Amino acid sequence: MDLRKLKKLIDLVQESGISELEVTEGEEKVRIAKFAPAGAAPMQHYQVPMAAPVGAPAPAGTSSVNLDDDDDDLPDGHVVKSPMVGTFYRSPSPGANAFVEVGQSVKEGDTLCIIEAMKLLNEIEADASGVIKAILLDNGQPVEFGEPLFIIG
Amino acid sequence: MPLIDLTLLRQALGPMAGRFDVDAVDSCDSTNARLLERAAAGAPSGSVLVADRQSAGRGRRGRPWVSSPEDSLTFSLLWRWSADPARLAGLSLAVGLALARALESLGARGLGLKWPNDLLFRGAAGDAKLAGILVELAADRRGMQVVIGIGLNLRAPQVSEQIVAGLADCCPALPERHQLLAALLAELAQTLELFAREGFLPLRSDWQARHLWQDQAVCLLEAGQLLAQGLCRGVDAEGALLLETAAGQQRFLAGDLSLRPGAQP
Repeated sequence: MDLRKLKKLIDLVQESGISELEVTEGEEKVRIAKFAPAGAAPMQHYQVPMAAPVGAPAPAGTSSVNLDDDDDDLPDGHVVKSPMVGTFYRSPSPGANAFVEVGQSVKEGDTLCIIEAMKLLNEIEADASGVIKAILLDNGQPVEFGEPLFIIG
Repeated sequence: MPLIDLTLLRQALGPMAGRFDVDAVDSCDSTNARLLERAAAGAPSGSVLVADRQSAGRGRRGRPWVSSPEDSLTFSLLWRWSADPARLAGLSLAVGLALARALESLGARGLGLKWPNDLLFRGAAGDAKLAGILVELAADRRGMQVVIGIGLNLRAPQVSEQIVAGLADCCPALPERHQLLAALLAELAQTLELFAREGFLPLRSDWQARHLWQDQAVCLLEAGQLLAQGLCRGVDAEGALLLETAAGQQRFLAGDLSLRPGAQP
C-alpha cells in the first residue's frame, strides 16, 4: 500500500467521527486508530515500511497511526545505494543479459549494475554477499545520490 | 612485435616516464576490460595498456569500436582515486579536453569538443568524430579505480554510418606514434591531477573555448527518445550540459546530443 493511499486513509479517519479503521487489501492489512490524548501533547507514532521516503506529512491533530503491516513493501536486508547521480543500467549493453536477477546469489565484489553520468560508467559492486531480494529501479531510470538500488538478503 | 616499443616510449616520456607503467601488446579483446582486471589484481595508478588490435573494443553501452593497427592508437590508462565517486562527474569532459590539448600541442588544428566527451574535427564535410573515450569506474576498499579508454583515429577508417576523421586530417604531418602516446599520457596525467584536486571548475573555460555547438539549436536524446531540445549553452561547474529550453535553462547529466535538423549550421 503506498504512502499516498495511507495518507488518504489517515485523513479520512481524522475527519470522521470514527476512532479506528482497519483495511485489508490482499495480504496487506492496515489499522489506523485515533486516540484522544489526556491533556498531554499527542505522541506521534508513525511507522512506515523501511526505505519509504521520509517527509510524508505526519497527520495533524491527535491521531496516532499504527501499521499492523508485516508485509513491508521492501524485504529486509542489506541496501546497496547509488554512489552518484546518473542513469541506472542493469546490463553491460542493450540487449545483453542483466548482471543480476532477483533470487540470484551474489558474492561481495560481483557487479550488480552500471550507473552512468556524462559517459562515466560506474560499475556498482555488491558490498555484501547474499541473495538479491529486490531490484528497486527499472533499466534506464534516473537515479539520485544515495538512492537504494538493490536489497541483498 | 607491438607497434609501441617500450624503450622508445620511455625516451619520449622523458621525466614523466616514472609515472607510468606501460604494457604494449599486439592484440587483446578490450584494453579497458583487461586493465580493469589488472586494477582489481592491484595494478598501480598510472598503469597503461596499449594494444595494436582490439577484438572486442568497446564504446559506451557496448557499441563496438573498430580500429586497424597502423591507422589508430588504442590504449587505456588506470588512475586510482581516493575521492568520492560523486565528485567524479565531470571527469569524462576533463579527459576529452586533455586529448584536445595534447593533440593541439602536436600541431593539430580544427579540433572541438561535443558534450560530454566527443573529440571532433571540424572539416569540410561537417563535424567528424576523431576519437572515442570510454571512462569506467570500479570501487574497492582501497578507493576508486578509474580506467580511461581512448581510441584515436590516425587515418579515418572507412565506415558508413557516421562521419569520421583521422589525426592526419587535422595535422600537417602525422606525429610519430611514440611521441603521440607520450604527449597524450603526459597531458592526461596533468589534467587528472588538477581534476583530483579541484574538480572540473578550473578546466571549464578551456572546455568551453573548444565547445563546438555553443548557442546552437540541439536535441538531446536518450535511447531514441527526445529528452529535450533548445539552445546549447555549454556546461556548468560540474560538467553538466546546460540547455535553454522553452521551460527555461535546464541542466542534464545524460543523453546523446545532436544538432537539430534544419536549424542553423
